[in-house]
Amino acid sequence: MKTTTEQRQHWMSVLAKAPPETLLGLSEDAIKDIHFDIIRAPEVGLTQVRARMGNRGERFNLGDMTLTRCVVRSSLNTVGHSYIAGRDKTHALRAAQLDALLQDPQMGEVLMERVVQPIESMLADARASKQRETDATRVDFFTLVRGED
Amino acid sequence: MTDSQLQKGFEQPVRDAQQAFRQILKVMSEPGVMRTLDHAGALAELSPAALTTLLSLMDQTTSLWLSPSLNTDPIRTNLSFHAGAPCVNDPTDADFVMARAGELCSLEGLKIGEPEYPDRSCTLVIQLDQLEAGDDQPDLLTLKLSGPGIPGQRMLSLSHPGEALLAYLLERPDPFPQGLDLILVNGTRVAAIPRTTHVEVI
Repeated sequence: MKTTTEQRQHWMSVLAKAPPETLLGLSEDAIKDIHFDIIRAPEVGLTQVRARMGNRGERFNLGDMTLTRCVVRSSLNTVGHSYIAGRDKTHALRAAQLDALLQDPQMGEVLMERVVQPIESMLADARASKQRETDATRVDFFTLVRGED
Repeated sequence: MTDSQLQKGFEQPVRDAQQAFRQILKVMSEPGVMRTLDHAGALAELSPAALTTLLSLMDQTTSLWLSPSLNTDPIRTNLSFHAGAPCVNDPTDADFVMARAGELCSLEGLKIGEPEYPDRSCTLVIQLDQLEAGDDQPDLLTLKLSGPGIPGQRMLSLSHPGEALLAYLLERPDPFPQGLDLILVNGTRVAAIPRTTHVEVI
């Protein structure tokens, strides 16, 4: 099975958002037998985030964010890239290694099951509980017509 | 871009680029002096010294022209990945020219800078088959260098750099301070002949 761009975008996003300790813990076993050549060692830099007002208006510069990126080649001859928010180099390295392995059909299936899916459901749970917490204190504002001119 | 052709650039980008830059500065300011540049490995037909030079000096704002035999997929992919430098199709648009000896048929039209801004000129990086300091190599072409940065004179022996380039060095047609600077690489060695150097063939 050939992986599509969407699939790869999806797992790269999950790996980037994963809490570093969880990611390192879950993936330790899977990568220990594989050799990786480092093509671009983890390096910290800045990227400019751009946005559109209401996702429609003109594009504007929202601000800069710190970013760590890394590129490795695995002994299965796949190349993995990673871009991580923040300055955690071990996280960036591991995410790149996993991206490389996920592109291999056999390894990919196992890793999806053992690493990506657990993290994904964890992130979804965290998001849902945050959502509930926020909803509990929701205030709906409305304004009465005051009758002045 | 084909991912599988990517290879490692510098081990430690900041440190290696600074060290390489220092060596290039040394050979530029003392023409004829030879230094070792091996911070990056060889890349396809590019020698370690050539790749180290390009990775140290180039970024997104410097355009590069590659001679036909070097204009291959792995070289373009890696240079754009590690240095981000745009490749141009016309050498007259380039800030850097990377060529093997003899592949640059004409130096006509290359950027020589402007009288007010002589730094806006093209730097040639030429990969030679042989390059030695001194003049005790009978089968090589020996150049006698003199001028700023050289106490008296210095000898540099090299395999033929190409008719056009040799003619340029001997005639120096561009009015100073305009002109082309030349970096010579071979294997892991580098030497330079900047525009101020007077060149004679022995």
